[in-house]
Amino acid sequence: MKRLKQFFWIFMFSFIGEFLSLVSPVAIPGSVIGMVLLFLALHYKWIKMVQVEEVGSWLTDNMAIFFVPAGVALMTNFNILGDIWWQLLVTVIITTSLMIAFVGLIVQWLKRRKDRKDKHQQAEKQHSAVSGKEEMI
Amino acid sequence: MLTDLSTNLYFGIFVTFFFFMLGTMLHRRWPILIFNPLVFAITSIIILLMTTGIAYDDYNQGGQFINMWITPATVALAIKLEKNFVYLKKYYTAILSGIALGVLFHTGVLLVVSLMFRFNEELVATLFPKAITTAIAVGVSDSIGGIVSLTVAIVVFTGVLGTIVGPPIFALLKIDDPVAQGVALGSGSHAMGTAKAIELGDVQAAMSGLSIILTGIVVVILAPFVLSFVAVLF
Repeated sequence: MKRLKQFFWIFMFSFIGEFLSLVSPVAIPGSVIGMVLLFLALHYKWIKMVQVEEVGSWLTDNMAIFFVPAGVALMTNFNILGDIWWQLLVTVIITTSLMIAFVGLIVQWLKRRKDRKDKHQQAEKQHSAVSGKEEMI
Repeated sequence: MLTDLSTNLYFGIFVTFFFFMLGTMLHRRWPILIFNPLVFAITSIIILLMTTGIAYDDYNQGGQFINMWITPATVALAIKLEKNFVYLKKYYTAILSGIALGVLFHTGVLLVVSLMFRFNEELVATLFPKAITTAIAVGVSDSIGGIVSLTVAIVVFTGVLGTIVGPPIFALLKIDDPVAQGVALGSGSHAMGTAKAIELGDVQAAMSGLSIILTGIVVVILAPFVLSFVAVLF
């Protein structure tokens, strides 16, 4: 029963998301709307974490298998791919790898810069509080 | 008899589970690319269907019941998002700028490669939304004149590729920060990248799930500008 209730909440948000996606004029997928709504519900404590946590974590931890049918659907596109398939393949490999590398490096750099700045500010505060103490950075 | 069997609801469900589990076992023993459970299951099932002549629609009788779990699983990412909200609050500048610059960079690289291969306008429009989640990508591709079914295939391939190239790229470039890893996977290879991020850790998973949304929004906003740009260039 406990798990059924958890499924109920998750399916309810899935359905509300799908419904809003249907009536919304811009193309936003229902799953994304549902995620945002469930996040708001959890964040503002309309729903408690324990009411969805167990089933929700089970779903996300096993997410990869859910994509198998969508991947198999690739075979229905083999005819369009024709003789440009290798060019598309190269394009996808280049753009995807570069994007992951670029975003990873930029976010890491910006985050570390902020961490250093925070540490520096903290150290300065300590410095003015305890005079004569050496700064860490 | 054989068609009765292949159109049976449980055929698609069974083969999906069978090859995914087999891939998981093989990958544990030999952790190489082709035994990645998702890659292994997809390739094995495509080979199985093509050699036996079973239609994709037959397989999908059961397959759709596995596919339908993508939505609740995506919704459930909200749990990880809430649990790791402190990271978003603290690093929103880094995350948002990373994604916005990333989408611009991705578009730039795509245009250069497309010019190199002499792709037409239609193909560029098909490829442009490739990094975002299928449901949004379909809408974007359609609105800027791409080939929708091909966009779906490319989005899936991008996702598979992201799960494969992600970890080696992180190792090579020393990207070891969990927030950076999550954002990179989510923005570069959507929900499939997120499935990989979940294996890497909770922070990666939450950041990746969040990045799917943010990247989708940036791509939707950018689409009309890219369309007019492409019309001039191609």
